[in-house]
Amino acid sequence: MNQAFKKHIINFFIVLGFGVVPAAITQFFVPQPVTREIHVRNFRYGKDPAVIHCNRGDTLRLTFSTSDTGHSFFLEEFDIDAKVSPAREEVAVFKVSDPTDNPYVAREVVFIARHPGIQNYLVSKSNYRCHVWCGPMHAFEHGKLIIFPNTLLVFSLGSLTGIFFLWILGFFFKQNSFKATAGKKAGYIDLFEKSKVLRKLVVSRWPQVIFMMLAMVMVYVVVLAAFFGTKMSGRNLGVLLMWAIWLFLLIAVLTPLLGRIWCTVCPLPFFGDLIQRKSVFEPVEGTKGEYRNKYSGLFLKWPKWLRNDWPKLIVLLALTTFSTTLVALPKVTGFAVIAMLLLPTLLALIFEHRAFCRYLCPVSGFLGPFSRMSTLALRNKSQSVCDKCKPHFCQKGSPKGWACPYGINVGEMDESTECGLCLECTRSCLYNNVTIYTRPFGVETGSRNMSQAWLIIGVFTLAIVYSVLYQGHWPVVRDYINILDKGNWGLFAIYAAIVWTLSLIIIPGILYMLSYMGAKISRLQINIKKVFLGSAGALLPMGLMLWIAFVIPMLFVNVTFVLQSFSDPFGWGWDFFGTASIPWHQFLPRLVPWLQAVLVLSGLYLSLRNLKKTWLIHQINYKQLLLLILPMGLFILASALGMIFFFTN
Amino acid sequence: MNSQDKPQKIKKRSYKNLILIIVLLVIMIGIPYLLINYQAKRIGLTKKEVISRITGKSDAGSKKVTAGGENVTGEKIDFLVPIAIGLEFTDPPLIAHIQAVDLDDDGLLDVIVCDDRGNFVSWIRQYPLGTFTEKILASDLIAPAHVEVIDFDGDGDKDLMVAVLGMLFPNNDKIGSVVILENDGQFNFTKRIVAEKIARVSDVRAGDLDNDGDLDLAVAQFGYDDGETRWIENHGNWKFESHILQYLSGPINVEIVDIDYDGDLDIISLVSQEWEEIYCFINDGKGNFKPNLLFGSSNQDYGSSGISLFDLDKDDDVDILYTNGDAFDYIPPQGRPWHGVQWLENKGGLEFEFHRICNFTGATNVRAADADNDGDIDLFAVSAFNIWDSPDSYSFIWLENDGEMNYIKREITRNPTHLLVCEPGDFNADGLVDVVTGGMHTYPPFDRMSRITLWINNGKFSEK
Repeated sequence: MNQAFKKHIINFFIVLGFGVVPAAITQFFVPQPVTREIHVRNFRYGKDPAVIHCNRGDTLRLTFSTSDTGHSFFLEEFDIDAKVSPAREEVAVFKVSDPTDNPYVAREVVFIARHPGIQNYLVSKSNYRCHVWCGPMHAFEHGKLIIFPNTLLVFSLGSLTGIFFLWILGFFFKQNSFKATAGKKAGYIDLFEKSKVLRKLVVSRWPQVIFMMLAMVMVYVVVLAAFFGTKMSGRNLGVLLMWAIWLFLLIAVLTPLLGRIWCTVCPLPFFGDLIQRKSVFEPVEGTKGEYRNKYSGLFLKWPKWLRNDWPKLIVLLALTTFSTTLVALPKVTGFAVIAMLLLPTLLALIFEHRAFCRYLCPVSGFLGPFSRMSTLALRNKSQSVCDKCKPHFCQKGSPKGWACPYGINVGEMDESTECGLCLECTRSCLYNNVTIYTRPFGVETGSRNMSQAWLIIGVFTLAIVYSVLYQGHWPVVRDYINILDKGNWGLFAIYAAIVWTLSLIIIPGILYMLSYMGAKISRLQINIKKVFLGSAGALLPMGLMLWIAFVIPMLFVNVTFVLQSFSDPFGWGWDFFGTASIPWHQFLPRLVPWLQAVLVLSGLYLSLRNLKKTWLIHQINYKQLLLLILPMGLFILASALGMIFFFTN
Repeated sequence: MNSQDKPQKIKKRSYKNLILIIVLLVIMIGIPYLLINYQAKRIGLTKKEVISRITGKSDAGSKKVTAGGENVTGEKIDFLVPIAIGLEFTDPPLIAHIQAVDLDDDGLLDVIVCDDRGNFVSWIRQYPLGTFTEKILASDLIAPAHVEVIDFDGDGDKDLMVAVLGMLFPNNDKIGSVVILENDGQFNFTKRIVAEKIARVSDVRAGDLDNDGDLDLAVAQFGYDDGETRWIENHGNWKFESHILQYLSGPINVEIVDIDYDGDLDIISLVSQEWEEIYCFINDGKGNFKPNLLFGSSNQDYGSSGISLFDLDKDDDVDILYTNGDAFDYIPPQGRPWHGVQWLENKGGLEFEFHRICNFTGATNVRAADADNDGDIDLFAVSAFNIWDSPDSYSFIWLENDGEMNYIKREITRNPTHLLVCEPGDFNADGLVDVVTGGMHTYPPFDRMSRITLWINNGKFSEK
């Protein structure tokens, strides 16, 4: 067995031990069951109490009221859907498992806080939601039931301690193993070498064009459904395709595994490319400036002062600030998509290549940093071939392929952020020296410059902000973003100011301070900016895992609505697949907190690992290295700790 | 590459690009074309009308729109005296529907009630004259929305058809049912479930839709996002078969009438939610129906709240009385300025002309009767969703017909509030029109509540 793999297995079991032992011990400290009488007040958009704490086996006697319109107390794990009506003490209690069953009308709902079988010991958190449409932010109305002992929380805290313990321990043992990680392409496997068919498929433009057309159809359906479909976003295929399916696939599947593969098939630059190139396929012979292909349009250079990640970060923050509106109002989604189609096209008339994708696209603002974590990367085969190549076909174009629309010289490429995987260099390189690699997850460390560091911190911060906004149980937080029906513009301005300040000033400021502290206590003569850039890069694995933890419930909770919308995409009363009116069920609700906890723990492990790896090539004394990165390590630990509490308790 | 290859390569590239652009155009045009075509076939509109509907550009189906007598307001004339009848209440009443009918054939009008607070259907029996006693006929009907008295089984006594929502507030679950309360002749009622576990049922009417001699049913299922309109074929012996007519969400009312005068019964339905449309389903006489749009509002928030049929202009055809004032969508559920009362004049050949009668915020129900005894048809209308905090908000009005189909809006009352339904009838057998109303108090204020109120005509107009 490979030595490194053996080490990982041992570490895994040590961490597991740290989690399982205390989780098992807590099972012996369950208080005697008691009866709890709880009144749940429902309102737009929350429940009071927002959290119900109880012990395993407690009998809960719940009564209900509503402060405004009709609501429901939907607790799928306990098969309860109590419909609450205004000015009425009784509730009609339906079964979630069979909502067509006759409900019973009662003044209180009684159930025992106990899950079936082994789940009784594993499941500690359930979300109670609303299953009566009560307003545009109805989907975000929920609270949580926490059953003690909270096995998941204890397990997660134990595992978290184990991960941190091993990380610290790593500074004192096996010090010579650090050297092995210095190689640029360590663990990279050349896929073109392994499969000639794959190379043919990639180099041929047809598969890419076909996938792009399919993506175009998807975008078109999103626009049609958003404008002409039902205004109920939960039943509008446009909204669900975009914000449930696409977002989930993008964040949880495509980006971690395949990096910016979405950019490969993204239809947004299609029309701009067509205008500039006058061909979707082979290049048109001729030249334009420094390029060996013929282009149309003004083809101006993008302003030098904007050639960084700041514009992307600003657009990303602007778009995400209005995320609630985007999700809740289908037409706003439609307008956003149209703007995203028009803008690249207009910019293509003025600026060279894909100016929008490179400098403005909020999707690439998100994908770019996280693509550095992916298990897929485009690189050269041989550095020496690139070193000898003077024409730079990849960057400047050749008769076989267009110049890189992202302005990249593959020979100088050592990270994936900028590469939009358009695959053009695999065609334009006349030496066939460009290939695609698989590689271990999360191998790129650090960050290139300040704007990239800020972008990374931005996407990391947004993952936490989004989780708190949409999955938090605090209704007051949702009031801050409710400009839809409550028109809280004043609160919204405060929310926007907080998000922007957090992303642009507070979190980067904290990171800078921690970098300064690290440099001070380690007594290393080191540039603080360099420490800061390294620290920011270490946030990527944690950031990605937090985003995945965020999108999992977005899809799992809404999966029924996705199926309904496929049958009736516009809400026009169709039923293509017989699923238009299936009752709402969440997908594996008991599993979601476990998945989220495991993701946070994985993020912690990878972030700490990358934080250390960033400095391995610098030949720093290990004690000094520990002191240098300990403040940042503690920050990552604190973030993980906070999110563990958030997702599990 | 030699110079001969070059033009060929350019040609090949041009073809490939052309193919792609053609594919793209086909997609861009083809998808909407297929969608519109499919929708047009499903709901019985032309493609042009479908486009108009989905783009919200026009009032498709309404052939002509006229405004007449809008907001001509007259002085209040106190000719109705309120009396509370039926059970007393402590909690805010939730009356979903009432019907004035002489259930026991004793010559005195009774009231049949759908009570969503108690989840029952009851009978307020008038006997002797002026004495009203309420009796629950069937309980455990969760949120009954509509009741219709009819001798469904043809045994000579009056049965009750009940549309059961399953839940008063918005819900997508299949919790609705159609229930017939079969009268044994002694006013003991047995529940017969005609359909259950279907999208919330808001209305049910009976008529022989397949010309086989028995009564079939037309059913409006409001649902929430996934409502339906269906007809239920009666196979005899309490055996039924459902046929879905339309899958649109939000049907509130259905009516059965021979709208095209071809000798068979057709179905008229009002579909609210984002559709705000009135359809008729034209029967071929064998129970095969073809949809036809009679009216559609371009305002997605029009708030359609009810229709009823009446020959308002006395030209021997059925016109459609129509209110828009549903505000359940809004939080708080308060009416909007565009709410009001209108009628669709039947011009024959499925042509209807829209006439706005008056603005009336939160209007939920309109009924026709000669209120002032002058020989023309006046209207009574109630509101459940007016702006109750405003002192000028009426809950009950009447619209006096000047004989030229111009209407003067006159207040009846502002107290009680939240009146959802009204039903005219001569309750005290004096030849004058009285009215009974029902209150649906789902939201505050709860300071002017009523359950069932009988408004006795004091004869102020009797000299006419």
